[in-house]
Amino acid sequence: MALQAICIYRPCWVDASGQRVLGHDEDETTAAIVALRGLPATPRRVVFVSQAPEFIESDTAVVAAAGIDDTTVAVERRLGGPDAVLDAIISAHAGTAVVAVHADAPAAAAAALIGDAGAALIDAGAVARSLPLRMRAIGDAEASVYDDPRLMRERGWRPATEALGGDMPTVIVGVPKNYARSVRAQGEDVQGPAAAIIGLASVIESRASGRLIAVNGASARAVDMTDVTGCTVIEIARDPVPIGKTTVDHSVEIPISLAAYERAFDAKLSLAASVCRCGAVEFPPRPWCSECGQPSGDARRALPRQGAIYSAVTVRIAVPGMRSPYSIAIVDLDGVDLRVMAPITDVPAGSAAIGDRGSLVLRRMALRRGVPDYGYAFQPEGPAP
Amino acid sequence: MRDVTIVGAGMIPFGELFHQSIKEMMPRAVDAAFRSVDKGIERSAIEAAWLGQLQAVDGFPSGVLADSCGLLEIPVTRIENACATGNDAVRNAVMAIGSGMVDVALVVGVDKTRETSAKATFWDWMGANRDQAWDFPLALISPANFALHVARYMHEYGVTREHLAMVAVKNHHNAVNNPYAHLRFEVTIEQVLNAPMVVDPFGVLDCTPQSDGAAALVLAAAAVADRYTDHPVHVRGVGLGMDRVMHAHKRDMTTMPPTVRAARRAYTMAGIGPNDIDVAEVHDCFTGVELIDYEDLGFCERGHAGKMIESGATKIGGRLPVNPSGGLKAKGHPPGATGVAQCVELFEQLRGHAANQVDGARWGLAHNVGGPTAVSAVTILEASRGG
Repeated sequence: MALQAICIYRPCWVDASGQRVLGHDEDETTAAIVALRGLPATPRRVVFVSQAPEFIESDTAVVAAAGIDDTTVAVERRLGGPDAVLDAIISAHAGTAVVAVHADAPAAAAAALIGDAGAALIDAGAVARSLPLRMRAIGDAEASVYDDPRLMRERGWRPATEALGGDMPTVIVGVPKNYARSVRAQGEDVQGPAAAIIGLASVIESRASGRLIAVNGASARAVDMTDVTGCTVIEIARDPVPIGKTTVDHSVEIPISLAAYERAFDAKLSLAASVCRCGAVEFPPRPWCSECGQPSGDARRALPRQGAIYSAVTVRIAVPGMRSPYSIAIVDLDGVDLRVMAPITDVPAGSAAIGDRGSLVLRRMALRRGVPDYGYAFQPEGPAP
Repeated sequence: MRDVTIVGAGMIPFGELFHQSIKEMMPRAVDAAFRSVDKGIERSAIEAAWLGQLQAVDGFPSGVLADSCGLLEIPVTRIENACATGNDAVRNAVMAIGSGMVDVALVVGVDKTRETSAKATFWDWMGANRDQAWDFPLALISPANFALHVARYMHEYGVTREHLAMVAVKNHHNAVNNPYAHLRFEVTIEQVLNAPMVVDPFGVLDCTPQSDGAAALVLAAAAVADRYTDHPVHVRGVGLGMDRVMHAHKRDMTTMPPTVRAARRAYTMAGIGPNDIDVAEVHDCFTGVELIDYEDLGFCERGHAGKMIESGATKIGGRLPVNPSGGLKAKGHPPGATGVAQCVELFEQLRGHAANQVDGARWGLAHNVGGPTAVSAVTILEASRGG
């Protein structure tokens, strides 16, 4: 077992303090998909680790599988912190990707691909102790917080990191950066489970052997890397764009028909077009070909994701439930006689023009009565370097 | 098919008619139409009625018309065809009279767009016009629906926001004289360009207001028209055209194919072409749409609508005055009533009594295009010879 590749996705949006934040059409699921798609190979199995209890109830697994173009991939969801991520990585078989997302600022998604070759990870032990300063009982909306950060520091982090400390240069994640520095280790800005993979990337980028300690309260796990040359680190981060201040009028909820949602889901998330015997490609798929007028059959093909804007508009007035202003494009897809309508993402509203090139990316189109409605948005290419 | 005429036409002023329900609006419009009949008409002469109404308010639409207008003894049918509703109601009544099934029919158009809160309007409209799973959550509101066409049109033909503003200036000017118009004030190019933006490239003065209103026509077979008037207006052509409902499936967004299809049918039926039209009431829900209409209706060549509005050809006194009533832009747009009210304006134009009279007008054309730009209706009317 070895670490073959890591992909870190940092969303383009930045808040007033310059920290990366998820776009309004992003969530843990869409960000994880960007990181997974950035890996050099499509995984056969995905372990998705999160600290958000509601994530277990959601359809993250199905959306993620569709989002990486392989609805047969097994997506396992685990609740846990950075230690759980390290545990998932060292116990994984080749072909597995472990992914986690830090949704708060600084936001990042990180995916690690385990392969037959790459940088070896050596288990350097674990500590399992109980100090539940923050707990959410099943059925409770809010976590109960025992407000004593010094207790956590002195009876949680310190014993755990001392027990797992060693001679090698060390990165500690799951604790504030200044705590890591105080024990002469490197820390990370990103917190939560994603920090474990970002910490591994830091060890790799140091080009020397090193240890990573992933802390979760009073528990922790450590791994050593002695030869880091075999693992590729891919960073996806467009130039930062200020997210600005926008408001949404939530007094009107966007309605949803779950029957319509379910009928469209497969084609919508897989960008699957129908292919008629006559050759016509149609999206959404239709049972009766609009070219030859015959039944078009069950053949499907995935649409190309690259294209150029045919027409675009920017809505400036407030629309209940929407974040104005917002832009919508009709996109001419490359190599196929077909267009799609998609919201424009990852650029300020109104900044994309007819003819601009870009690609389709999976995003959360809307929250409709609380149901995340996923689909594809058009991401214009960044400015030429 | 038998020849069909209009022998009476009337409407109530369009506006935010918060104080009137459709049960009051419809009888007033019908009364206005009856009173316009030169030799008078009894309610009992009406053999069938068609109601154009887009959004039901106050209950079952056909029943509300029959009940409020005392038409319980005749069949009443509601037509709903997006913004083409009014002219499609006319078309259905023409078919019934033309076939010989009835001699005299009533067409009523009505809508109350201001009956729901301003906030609820957006998603109500999109719910009626978008695929629930695919396009609906993108919130392509009505102006954006048309702006996708106009943005591409401007891109291909070098048409500017100034050209769009000229449409608003012209139609607002025409509305000042029209006692039935919703927005009876002049606007300048600068005011239009500097108005707050709604959806690029439309500012608020590029957009139709949301109006309530009602209009009515009395149609009669030509063979019996002289019972009611010596100056009937002849319905020479009607046409309805459709197109794909998803914007991604529209091949060329510089045009609205439903208009081309509806116009082709109406011109063919009338045996005339666009050059014969003397006055037109066209669908200008957003200024740029009127420019695309010029081309789709054959009033000018492709790409020449900017020049046409610039030249003044479509003003009163120009080669082909368009929207002398003020159009949807300034007269207002209660969808079910809009097309019927266009015919009310043309009835007056072709009988020589319009507020903004086009001298010697013989042929008139009414046009609507709507929904997800997927339906259009065109009606062509002709004045009585020598009258």
